[in-house]
Amino acid sequence: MNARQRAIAQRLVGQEVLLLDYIRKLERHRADRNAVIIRLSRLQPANRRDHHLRIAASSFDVMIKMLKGQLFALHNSDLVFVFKASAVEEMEAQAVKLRFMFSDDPLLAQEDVGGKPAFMDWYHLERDYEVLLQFAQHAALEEQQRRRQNDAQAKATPKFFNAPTREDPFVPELLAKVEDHLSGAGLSNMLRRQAVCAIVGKSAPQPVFHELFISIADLRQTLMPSVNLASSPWLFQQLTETLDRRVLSLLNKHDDSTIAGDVSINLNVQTMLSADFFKFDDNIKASMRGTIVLEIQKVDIFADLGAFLFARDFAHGRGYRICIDGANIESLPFIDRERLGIDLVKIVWSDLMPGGKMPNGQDIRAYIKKTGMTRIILCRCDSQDAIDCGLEMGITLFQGRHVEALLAAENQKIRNTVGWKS
Amino acid sequence: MNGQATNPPGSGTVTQDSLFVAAIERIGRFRDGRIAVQIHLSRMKSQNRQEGYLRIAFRMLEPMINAYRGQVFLMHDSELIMLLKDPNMTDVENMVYRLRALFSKDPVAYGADKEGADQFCTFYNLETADYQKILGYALASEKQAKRSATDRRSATALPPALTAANMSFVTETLKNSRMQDLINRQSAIQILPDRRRAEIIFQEFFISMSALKKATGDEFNLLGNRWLFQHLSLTLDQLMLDTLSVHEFKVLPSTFSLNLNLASIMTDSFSRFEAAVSGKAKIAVELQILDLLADSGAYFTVRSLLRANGHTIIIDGFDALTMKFMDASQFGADYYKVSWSPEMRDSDLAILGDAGIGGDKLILTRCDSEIAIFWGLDHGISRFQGHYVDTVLAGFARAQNRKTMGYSLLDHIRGRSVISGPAYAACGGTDRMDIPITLNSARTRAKEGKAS
Repeated sequence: MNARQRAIAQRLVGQEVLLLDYIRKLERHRADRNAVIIRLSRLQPANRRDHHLRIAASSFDVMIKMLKGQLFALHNSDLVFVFKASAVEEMEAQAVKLRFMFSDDPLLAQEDVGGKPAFMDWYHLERDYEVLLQFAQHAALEEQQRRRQNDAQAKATPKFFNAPTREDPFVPELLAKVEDHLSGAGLSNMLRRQAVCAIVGKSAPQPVFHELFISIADLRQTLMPSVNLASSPWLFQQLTETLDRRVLSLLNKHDDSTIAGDVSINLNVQTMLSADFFKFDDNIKASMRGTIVLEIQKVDIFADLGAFLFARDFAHGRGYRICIDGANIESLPFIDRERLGIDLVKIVWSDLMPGGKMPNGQDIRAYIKKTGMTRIILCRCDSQDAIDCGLEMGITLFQGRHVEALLAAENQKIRNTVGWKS
Repeated sequence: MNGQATNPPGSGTVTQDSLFVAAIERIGRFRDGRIAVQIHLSRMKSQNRQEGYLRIAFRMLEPMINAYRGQVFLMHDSELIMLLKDPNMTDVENMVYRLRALFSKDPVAYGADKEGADQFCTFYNLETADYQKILGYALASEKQAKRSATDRRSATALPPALTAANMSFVTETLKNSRMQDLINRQSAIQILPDRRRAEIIFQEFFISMSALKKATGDEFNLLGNRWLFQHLSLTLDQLMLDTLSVHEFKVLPSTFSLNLNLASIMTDSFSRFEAAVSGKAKIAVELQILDLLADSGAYFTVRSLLRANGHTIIIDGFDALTMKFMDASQFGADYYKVSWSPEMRDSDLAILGDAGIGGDKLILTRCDSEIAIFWGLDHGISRFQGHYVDTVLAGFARAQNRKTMGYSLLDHIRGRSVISGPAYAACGGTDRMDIPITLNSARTRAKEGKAS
């Protein structure tokens, strides 16, 4: 395992959880075990940069290889080393090395002049098992909470926008307020288009269709700038559903060319069975009907599978394509495009993708192949890395800020070539 | 197009049915080239003919109606009837074919009765004696419609759906309720290989929807908005965990099985509950498919955490349909709950095969009859839950306990399903919940009980 793969593996299963698991397993073998917690988190930020942590961790490599102990690198930078009592001398030598490594940090300087030991905590499992167990439980719990918040935040980070840093929770009263506002507000100024592009090799992106959506970021900015929408995923889901319905009625009112050409819109299953959708269907029949993709959230599909299958057959009969929205590498194992009879799967880019594995250990490439390379859209591509990784895995359709940037650059180039003045 | 998919409430005596009678009578003298096509949606299962589906069916008929001077009627019982003039029969057949495909999930779509007649659709040639037939049908249907309209008006309508605005009222009301009165429990059993004995594998604790409705004054349809209810369930989780942590059970269940949101696992309430039962009872956590899909990343970490703490992980919410469309084995859980439905008898065995999970990992729930249990056993399933199981267990407990023999089987079933109140004190209070049972005698007693 190289460093990057190790980093990815660590992120998939928290070290805190592994530590807790391990401590529990030791319950009956506490007699000959010791542990030490190295509080790297208490060091000055300048002394706990990535390379410091890497060096500190790798200084345990020899002992680990000789099976004398196990190392856990916690998310807060602390290291926990659980080792056999027989290796206590080696560990003491190791402790000296570590102290030397960080001797110029105030934490250690104070310790040296007679302060309380703050850099390392030592445990005899026989005596201190419960204390260590508690520590591990606490760490695991904290880590779960942190991840959950992160996940939720990443999930709800609206397109085109960076999540705010400090926020109020999203509560039902706020949702009520927003929904109330939406029922009267003119939203057309918040309607956005973003291209889904085909990219092959080094060629310029070719727009295939445009997604039409209301910018949740703008909405949040206008109505409740300090609110963290991700703090209540179900209320957020309700809000997006309301917005999707509003987009549909907005499009139904528009008699311009908004829906001409190849576009995608977000819909929920119940709306697909409603009069609003039929009206939309009538309107686009009248306009220049291109390929229209209906994007449906994964949770909405599985919330009432029977209704989805019914709506799907109807939509297919009318010539729409159906795309499952909101998939990520964690939920891919549960999304079987062929079984569900859908046309496209939209996967949210994640920096875990280059690791090549889904959390259940399955290969992402195999999934892409099985799903069909031309059936996958990689979205939220905010960097070239995302596109490179996708291309390398065989994906051909991309969406995101970086794709928009590439597209804009390409258009500029064309303009320059044909000598247009801007 | 002459109407909407459903009759608006309070539309008086003008129903689609009466409009149909009028239309049929009107064309009585000009029947040349007219046909009627009746689609027997009423024969389909109610979940296969929801309002949205009917709207789509209506929609698909529109071109026919426009092309052949037609009219379409949706009768009070969801029968769909079209009247057409000089249609191209190939067009009509194509349209019926498309409708059939749309409703193909229902057995009626491709079904035939004993004589081999099409169950889905009937054609009437109105030039012939078919006219009298359909006129008779129309009159009967109109009468029936009036009657059922009266019934509907007298029946209580569903309260308005839960909205974001009234949610905090509901939450506050619940926080001030006696939660132990809202909590129900139901045991799951494992039938041993000899098929004569069974053991309790866990007691599931959950908030009873009917008790919840009562507690909130039945002012809102709590299930009226799926996502808001999901949000509300987070509060319910907290309240249930907090209640169970301090509830004084006469005898603790050997295993608590709790329906929880992923997010609830990471709360202090869950930690407190763990601490309260630690060393005394085991914990199984039941997670909902929808919740796991919404945040699969959290699922995989929560799974590790639960495993590390020695808890069992059950995924709840599968049925014949979801099993077919999802590779459930990917969840890597200990058990999967699949709800029984009679149509599982007719469907091919692929239900289990597609899911990639063996019967030894399944718990068949909502078993309301012996048929479900036998079907399960025949498919390698040995774990069951449901009203039938409750009845068997209550029958057995009743026979075992002289003190409560005087109470009926129903008293026992009720007493065993709650954790407080008079019913609990009478029969459940003995807390003979986790006893191993012998099936033969239990089965006979259950039958006696039903008869009494």
